[in-house]
Amino acid sequence: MRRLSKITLAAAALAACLQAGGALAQEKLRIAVVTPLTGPLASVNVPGQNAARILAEAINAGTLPAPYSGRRGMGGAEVELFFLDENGGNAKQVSEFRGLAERRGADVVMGFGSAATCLAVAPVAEELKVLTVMSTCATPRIFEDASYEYVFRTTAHTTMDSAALALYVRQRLPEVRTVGHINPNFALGQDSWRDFAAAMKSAMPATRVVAEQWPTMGSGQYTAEISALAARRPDLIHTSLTGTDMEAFMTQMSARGLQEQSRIVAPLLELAINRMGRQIPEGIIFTARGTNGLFAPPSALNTWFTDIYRGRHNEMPVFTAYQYAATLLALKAAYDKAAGPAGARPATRDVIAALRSSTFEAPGGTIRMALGNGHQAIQDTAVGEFGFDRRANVTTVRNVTVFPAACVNPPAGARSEAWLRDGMPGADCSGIVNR
Amino acid sequence: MSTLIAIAVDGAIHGAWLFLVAVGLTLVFGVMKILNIAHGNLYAIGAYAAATALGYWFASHPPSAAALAIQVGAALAAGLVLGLLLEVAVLRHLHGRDEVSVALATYALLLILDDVMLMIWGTDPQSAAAPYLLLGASRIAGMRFNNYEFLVMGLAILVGLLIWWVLTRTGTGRRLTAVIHDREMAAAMGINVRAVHVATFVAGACLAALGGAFTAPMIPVAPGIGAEIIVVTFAVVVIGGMGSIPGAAVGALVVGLARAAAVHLYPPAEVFIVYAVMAGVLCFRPNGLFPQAAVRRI
Repeated sequence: MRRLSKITLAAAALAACLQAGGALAQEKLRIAVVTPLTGPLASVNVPGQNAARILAEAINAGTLPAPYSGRRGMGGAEVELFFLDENGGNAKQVSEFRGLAERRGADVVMGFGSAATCLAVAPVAEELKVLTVMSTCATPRIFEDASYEYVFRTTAHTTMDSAALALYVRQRLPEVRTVGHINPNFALGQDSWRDFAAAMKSAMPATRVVAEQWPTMGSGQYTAEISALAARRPDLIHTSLTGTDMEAFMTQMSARGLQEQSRIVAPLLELAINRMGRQIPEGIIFTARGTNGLFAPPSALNTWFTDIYRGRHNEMPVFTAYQYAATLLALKAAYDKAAGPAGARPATRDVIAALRSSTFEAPGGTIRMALGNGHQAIQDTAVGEFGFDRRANVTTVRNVTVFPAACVNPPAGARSEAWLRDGMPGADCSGIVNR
Repeated sequence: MSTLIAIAVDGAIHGAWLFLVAVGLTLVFGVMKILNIAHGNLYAIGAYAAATALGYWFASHPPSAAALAIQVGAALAAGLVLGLLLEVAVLRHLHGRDEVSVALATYALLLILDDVMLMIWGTDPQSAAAPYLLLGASRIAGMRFNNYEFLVMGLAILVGLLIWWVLTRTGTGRRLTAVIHDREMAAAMGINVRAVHVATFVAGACLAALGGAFTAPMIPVAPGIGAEIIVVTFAVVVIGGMGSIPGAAVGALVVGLARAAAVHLYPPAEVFIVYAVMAGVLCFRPNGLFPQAAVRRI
């Protein structure tokens, strides 16, 4: 009998311990980071994963600089990140998203490098009522084709890049008359070219498209495409190839001198500059999808971020790093605001209310959730030409133009494609700065 | 006219590259009747091995023709080791099994090798562009072409001729042809079929790795490149006729020319042209352009 009661006591103690452990585990805020770990987009999203880890550590340790200093965690909860591979197609992503919410206990889902994935998972996130913050994918269709309560995007969509690039070409390369393009045949490539073509038509109506190429994503072999572009000799070639596709195209293109007969506009080039460096031909026009990376305005937050990133990874953070950092900072701001001074764990609906239409600081400057009923971000952006300082062995940017967010993003309620096609009505470009 | 010349040159370049990768797959199928779905992984490992070796070499040496020897050496080493390992550890135990079981086993190998590559090289792409920029450029029809691509074309022709010579002019080739036509009869005649199988699979692995090693300077070598190549490689082999070496050459050329024509004349078709050609060929010749002669048992 005495032995039985000892066993009962031990079992009760064990149960109590397990319960306490469970309670502690529940206090953590579990954030699933869905990001390409394999496939052609993996390399460009590694900086995002690196940044997410840095930010999560700093948030938990309470070491973020102003304006986030002095408060640990998010809404009083310790943040726990776990990473999942985005590669493998939309059906897999939709299925895994359900698993994230229903089995793995994700409180928040963030990341997503592919526009196609974002389009596929947004309705599922809404159906499952899971707070989902997209960090990188860029198609404007998410909040223009539908309205969401649980889905946010803390980075501007691709319309901003296209509008800024077209205005840059008008200002700096007024002699351009013919345009060609090589864009991947999937959501981002199609959106990117559609927007750039419309923006060019608005900014420089006399230009005409003389060459179009739609390679399959991940094909890697561009011999025929480069020949076809070279044969048409456009003044300007637009490409939104990215990741290993961009690197393969740059290697093959530069060996054949395509950049010597056409100016190249590559909005996503910045993602390749750490890996390729001096192999990238000088003079390629690029952005950093906002005032990120080489274009970032000076601030204590940016200095902290770049110093810690460079110290840990021995390279400068590129825009995907800035975007993942911005997502976590947006979440921190929203959770802390929703938690109030008491610091109690807020309900998801309160976090959504705090995040909707908010303004927050990120290493790349101020970000406003201004579109899509307060669910879609806008920010200033910049365009410049790639350069490489061989003496200092560092990448540089020259002939930079900074465009205010209100100049290159459509106003609330406008559809991007129509806004670009109609000549960007309502754009306030009074604050453009050349440097 | 210049467009036609560009299509011919681009098609030949692409076709030669495809042949280099596909010839090992069709050789293995012809001799062993194994549809090796992991063939793309052997290509990827060849690419990784070459990129790694080139990275080490060029870290302390200026760009030179030694790169080409390094590429060949890395491919042969990777193909030899991996080919032997897979044949002895896995494929040998599948002899006599039905084709679906063998295909599933090689599919399992694809998944395992993908993860092994991730464990060894991680997600960061490996770049080895130095050989690509080594040989300069030539002008054809007013357009600049990289001579490295002509080198790959020459290598593909050399490999094709070497295989033709081995198959038709050597005792090894005659034994191989005997096994291709009837392995039981070949065994009855005293041919060591098992040794032929090992040699064939290792040769197929080396050819796949060679294709990867000479692709490495053109593209960043990243996880997933094996899966991307295997689909189009299958299309080449199916168009040419499963197991046919001349079929692989013609299939690769047809695919290369069709893709180049689509890129130059109607770019949106690039995404499906290879499969459209394959469907068209199979409609009229269900066993491909050069089907293997079937033995009829009486």
